[in-house]
Amino acid sequence: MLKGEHISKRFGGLVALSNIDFHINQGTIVGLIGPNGSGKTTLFNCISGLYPPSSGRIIFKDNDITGCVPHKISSLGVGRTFQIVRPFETLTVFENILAGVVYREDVAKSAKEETLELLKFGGLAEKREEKPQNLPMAARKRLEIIRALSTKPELLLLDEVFAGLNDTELKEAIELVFRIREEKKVTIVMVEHLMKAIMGTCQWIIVLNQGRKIAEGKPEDIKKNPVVIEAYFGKAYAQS
Amino acid sequence: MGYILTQSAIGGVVMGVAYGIMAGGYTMVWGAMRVINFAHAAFGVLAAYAVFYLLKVCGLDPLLSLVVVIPGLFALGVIMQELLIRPLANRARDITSASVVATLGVSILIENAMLYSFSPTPRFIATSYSLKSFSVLSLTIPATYLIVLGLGIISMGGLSFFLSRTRIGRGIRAVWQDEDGALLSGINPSLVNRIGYGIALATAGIGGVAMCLIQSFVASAQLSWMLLVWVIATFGGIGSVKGAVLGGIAIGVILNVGSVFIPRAYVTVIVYAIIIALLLIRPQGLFGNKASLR
Amino acid sequence: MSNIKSRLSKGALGVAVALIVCVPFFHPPIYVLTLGIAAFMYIGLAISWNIIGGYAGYISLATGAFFGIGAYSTGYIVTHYGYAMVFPGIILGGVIAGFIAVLIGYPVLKIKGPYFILASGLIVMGFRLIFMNTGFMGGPMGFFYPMIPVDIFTNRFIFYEVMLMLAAVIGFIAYRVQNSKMGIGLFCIREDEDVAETIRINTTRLKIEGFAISACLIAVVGGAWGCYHTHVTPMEGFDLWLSIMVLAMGLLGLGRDWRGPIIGAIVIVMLDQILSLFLFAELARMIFGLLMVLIILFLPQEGIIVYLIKAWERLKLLFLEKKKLEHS
Repeated sequence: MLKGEHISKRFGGLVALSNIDFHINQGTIVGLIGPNGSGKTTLFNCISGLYPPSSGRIIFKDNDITGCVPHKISSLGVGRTFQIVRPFETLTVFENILAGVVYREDVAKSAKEETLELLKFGGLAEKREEKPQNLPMAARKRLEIIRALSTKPELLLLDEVFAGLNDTELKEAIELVFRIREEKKVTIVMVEHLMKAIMGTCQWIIVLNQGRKIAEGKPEDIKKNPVVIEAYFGKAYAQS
Repeated sequence: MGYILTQSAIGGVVMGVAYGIMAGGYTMVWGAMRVINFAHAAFGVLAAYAVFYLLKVCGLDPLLSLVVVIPGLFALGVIMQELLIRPLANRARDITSASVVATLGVSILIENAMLYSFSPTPRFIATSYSLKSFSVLSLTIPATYLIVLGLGIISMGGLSFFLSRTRIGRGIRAVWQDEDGALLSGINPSLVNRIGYGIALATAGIGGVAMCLIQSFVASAQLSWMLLVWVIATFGGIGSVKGAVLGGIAIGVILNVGSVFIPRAYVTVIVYAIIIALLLIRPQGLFGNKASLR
Repeated sequence: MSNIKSRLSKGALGVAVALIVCVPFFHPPIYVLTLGIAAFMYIGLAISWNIIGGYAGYISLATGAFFGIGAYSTGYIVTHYGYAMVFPGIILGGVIAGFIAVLIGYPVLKIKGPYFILASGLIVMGFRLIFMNTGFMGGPMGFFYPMIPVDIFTNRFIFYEVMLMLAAVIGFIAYRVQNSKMGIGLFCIREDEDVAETIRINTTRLKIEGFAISACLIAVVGGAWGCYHTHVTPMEGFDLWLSIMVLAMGLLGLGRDWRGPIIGAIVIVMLDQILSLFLFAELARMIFGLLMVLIILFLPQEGIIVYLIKAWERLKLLFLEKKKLEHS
């Protein structure tokens, strides 16, 4: 569904991404992990069109989306969330979702009904008249995810949606992710730091370090991969 | 033809230096505090009026009046920072946009205060040396041109030195690049901001003195001065004093030499178009760096 | 209970509107009509400005440019084809302004934040310079609209109703935009443009559309003003000061409601008139400058309507609590 070929991204002298190849299959949940600064969010930004890669190609469902304008990429079916949530603060929760719904061409029912449905799906229905600033962190994260869903994407890029949640909230969030895949039939790529969340949800993991892909594979294999352990904990630990 | 071109080029350079002095202080505040001070030139005009009245009433030479102008405008700068900029920075979501509108209001306030107090008659500065000029290679160079060049070198050189060699100047640059780091290093941001703003307005004053030496001025000129200051600063680069001076010279020469061939108004419009294009392609200006844009 | 209340308030509003419309029929002093004309004109301008300024958050100083385009276009038609063609002339002014807005807007709207404000100001200055220096339509001296052969009272009467009607139409258009898909899109752009792009909003196109609609409406008002003022010069037609005033009015009511700028316009027009009456022009403008500073410092982001509503709610709560204390 999503393919990346030799993607590199330079910011002036800083090389953020270097020769990344990846292939994401439809209907999977893929994890993108790596130490801080390894280029995960940069890769997301390139895929979603915030800025183009310096070189390489990104292909989504046989469309070359390299360097496309973000709204075109999102209308092709890519949705994303942001690491630090960015809800529309002066709009109500309802309006936040309504915006995304209204800008689709293929709304089957009335926009309001569809918005309500999405809100219920995300467990935010009672909060719909509230402003995002009045919501607790977990709800704000859910808002961010549901808003990305409002455009009916086929691919969803989640950027650290599990960060800062307690155990109960984490369980609910993981459930939500699974439901998104099952009920909305969305392929998911998630950047995460929380190991247990990744191991429990992803079927495939890609590991980045300092802009390069250093490993990819099934969660059990990645856990034991010495290169990965070295990236996180250093050589000494890996060798032990 | 060559004579006309060189004369106008020289005039452009000097005018550019005078504007560049004002632009230097303006760009420093813009880069360091993210504040766009649209009233910057108004303070320059205020300084020009101070020179005029000091000359008329006390017979004080314009250069000597700097002794009054510099501390006076420094004080005004500190006051403005405390009363307006700091509260604005605390409340506004986007300080830069807010500062445009707020300082626009200040400029209207100052312009009309000056208009009321000093009347709309254009003023000239006439000193013993205003009419003296030198002949160099069949070109006529008024003495005032040399004075302005001198002012430019001293004030902008001084500003650069201040920013790079003195503790407070480095503090200003530190806060500009990394505010939290600067705080951790023990720099007092409010002191730094106050001094920074004071210095900025003081240089506006020096610029105003330079301007009144080479052309007439009136309260309502502050807007056209400001427009050029903004154009020059945008061209030269956010936060770059070097850029402000070089930009000033460049724009001054373009305007003067260009108006030999086509009406000045058209040259101005072309300059506006260039600036808009610049904002699109390289919004940090020629010598600015991208990080300062945030 | 609240049903009756809301019907009563709607009724009161209707009566007030009817009264305002009928003011000229009561033969008031001409001054009142002149004031009304200015007020409605600025109301129309402020509401139009708000479509790009308040809804989308792109604070524009280009108002003067489109105002002048309207005044000049309408003037051209009227001087060459007479007042029979005045309505097509005004519409043409709007169309031309819209066209230019798209042309200039495409690059300029890509400039973000504070630089956009300044760049849009350059647009006005640019137009003024061009019109001052080409011989087109009279150059710096400007040109005159043909006089309408009526006495001054009838003249004011006509324009009072015209400006009122224009303001009403503009208000209606703004109301429709605000409650439409375009409106939500513009609000999202104002909130967070990058995020808006991720939910399929073509921000570039939407911004240009908003800018163009705003420009059209402003130009229409400009055309009407041209007929009223009858003398159009580059200084008056392409006036940065007009842009600044409209910006201040918009900021006062800055927000997502078409009614906000109405209050902003009325406040500032009133202030301007009262101050100019009792004080001299410069002091009035000084206070205006001070007002701009205060607005930016103290007014919340969502504009005066929301602020007033919140203040009203707080007052009601205070009142209710007082009553509770008295009863217990």
